[in-house]
Amino acid sequence: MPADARQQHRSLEQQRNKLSEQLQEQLQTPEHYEEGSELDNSKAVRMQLHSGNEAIQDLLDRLDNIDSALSDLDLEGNEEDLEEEVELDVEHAASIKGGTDDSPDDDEDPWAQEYFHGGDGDPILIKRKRKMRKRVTQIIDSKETMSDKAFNAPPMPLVDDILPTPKQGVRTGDARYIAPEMALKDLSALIGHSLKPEELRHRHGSDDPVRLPVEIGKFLEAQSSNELVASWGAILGSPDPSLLTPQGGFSTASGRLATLSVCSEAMQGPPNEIDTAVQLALHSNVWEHCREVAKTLAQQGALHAPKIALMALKQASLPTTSGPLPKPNVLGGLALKQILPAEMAFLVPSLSIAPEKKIEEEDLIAQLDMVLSEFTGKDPFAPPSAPIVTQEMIQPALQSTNHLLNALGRTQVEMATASVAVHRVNPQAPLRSILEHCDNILRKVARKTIQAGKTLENALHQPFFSQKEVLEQTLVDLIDCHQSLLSLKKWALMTFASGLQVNIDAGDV
Amino acid sequence: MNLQTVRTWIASGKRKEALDWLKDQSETPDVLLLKAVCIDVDKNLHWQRAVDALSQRPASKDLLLALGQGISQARKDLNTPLLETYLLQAIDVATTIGETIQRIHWIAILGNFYLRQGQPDKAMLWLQQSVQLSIVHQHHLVTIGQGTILAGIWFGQGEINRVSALSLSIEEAAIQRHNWIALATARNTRASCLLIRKQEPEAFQVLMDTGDFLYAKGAVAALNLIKARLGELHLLLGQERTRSIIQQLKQAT
Repeated sequence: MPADARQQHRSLEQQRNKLSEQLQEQLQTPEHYEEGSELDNSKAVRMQLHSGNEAIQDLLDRLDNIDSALSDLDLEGNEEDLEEEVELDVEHAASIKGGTDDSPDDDEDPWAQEYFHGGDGDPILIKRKRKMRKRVTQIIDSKETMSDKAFNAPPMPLVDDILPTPKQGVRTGDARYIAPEMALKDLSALIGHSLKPEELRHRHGSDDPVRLPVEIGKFLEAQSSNELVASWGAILGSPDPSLLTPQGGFSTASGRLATLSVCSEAMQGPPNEIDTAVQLALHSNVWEHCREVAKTLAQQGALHAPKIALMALKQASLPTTSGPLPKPNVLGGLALKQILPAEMAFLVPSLSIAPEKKIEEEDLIAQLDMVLSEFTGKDPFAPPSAPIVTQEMIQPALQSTNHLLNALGRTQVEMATASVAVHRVNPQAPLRSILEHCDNILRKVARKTIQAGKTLENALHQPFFSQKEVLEQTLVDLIDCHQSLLSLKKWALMTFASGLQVNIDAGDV
Repeated sequence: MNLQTVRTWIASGKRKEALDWLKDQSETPDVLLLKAVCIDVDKNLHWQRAVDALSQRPASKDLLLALGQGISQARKDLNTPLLETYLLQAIDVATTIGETIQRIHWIAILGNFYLRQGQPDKAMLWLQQSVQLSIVHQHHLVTIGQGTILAGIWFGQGEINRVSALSLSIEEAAIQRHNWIALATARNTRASCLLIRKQEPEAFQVLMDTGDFLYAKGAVAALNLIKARLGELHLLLGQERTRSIIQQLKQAT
């Protein structure tokens, strides 16, 4: 180690020791209000910093920075080759193989045509070498650790012996809104964490006391028709600094966020509808999971919603109901729509008919055309040939047919995703009958779409006027199929969500 | 056939029939209002026309309805100047016709709007008014929601006495609604105020009493918030001091 680096090392160690002493001192002697002295606002603000975690957090952060700088110094100059295995997804694999496809969705969508007929979906593992400094890896590691807050979380004090944890009591009133409580189960996640914006942005997951209310707020702001709920949702969705004020510590800030979440839900409506819908909206990861399952099943030619749901849930059978389903849950339907990807584009089916040949009105040019026709061996007096159905003519309609087939395949996965999300919120919610109904309808629509595609192809090279009516009817059929698909999705999502109320209504007090 | 029949149609979902009839009528404020209800395209324009027309008459429930829809559209369109204008007008109309609950809601929304626009000074007046009115009219949900926001701002400004007083109001409202999370948060806040005033035993007493109450209710999540604050105080004051205070409290009881 060079002399200047040694010097720097010593200096950093001295700073670290000094900060450690300050930290101990801070823990022992917080600034206090002296009896008899006047408590003005500015003094109160200074004291609040010590009543919260800000001062301690600041010292801990500075210690972390020094530790990080010290480890940098130790490792500087140590370079080594790191070999890493990179798992490439299908998209990358296609680009490496040089495969291109006109269809924009083929690489991404497991329900695209190629998957109906099987295909090579195995991830491709390649090894690539690159030079990387070890310390870079360590910095990345420390960031990841910081993101889950274990890195600078203070040691967990034992409070269970002071206040033991009871069994969950009967839920009444606002206590029936469970979703905001999902992040308040783990005590260690509530004690002494940082409230600095740059660290809060690393928080993620529906069990995080800051991220969960943010997600609830975003959902309610976007979907609520009640303006006060939307207003509170906006305050939560990009949390207002007033909620995250460090005075009172991390625990009180988490409490403020959870409180406003409960108020927003309560203002929106009854818990059996609203809380379940909010819980559904938090299952955004289900889509990715079902998509992976669908990739496997598509290669076996079994892309059916009930099968995908069974495989994703690792269940032998799905719950169903003999009685009628409760009334549709509109907000629940919107929550399910939110966890699904955006609607696929659908081109309104049409025919590309070339404009009729213009009759030359200029005599001289018309005569020249006749002479040219005669010289090229054509009969100059023959009437223009009747138009025939060409590939170009039916191309837009065929494209719409393909889009529709892809959308139908994707809807199978979407329905399975909705059912999995519902099952995770309420394992007793009836799913089987809805999924089977969806599967039946989707198959019927798919058959009709394929039939339309065949009709288009059969008309190829036939005289256009003899096929005109058939072609026009085919276009109408394709539009009907698309409408049926949209209606089915809307109905299914609201009905899945309504199933959540099964056995929950009975538990309400 | 009259407007009352059309209103009945709309209420029973026959919006298309209602719209067909309305299209042939002269554009009176009532017709414009009902048209705005039925039409699904360019809703912002139709509500704006309805608001303009109804504003020419004395304040009414119809005008308040149109303003509510106009506010919703302006929010979705990110039209903040129009949103502010409509909110102010909605407060005015709700006050005039004596719609107290709506008045509290619109005041709360305006306060939150200014807060999000980065105008805390302008927001404070409305935020305070929303909390005061909600306490007077026992609109507990708004007391808790808006009170929590206001307490956070005051805490940041060092207004300890106000935070403490407001926390008491939130606690009362929270108990009424069985909102244990709000109760725990308000008690945590009040305990922090006591701590700042060097009333450490009192701060612990508040937390311990709340803990016992929530234990009896079986409110696990809310109890965790109290325990988390106790844990933070434990870290802040040290184990010795914490144990000694808790021991004192136990002996006193």
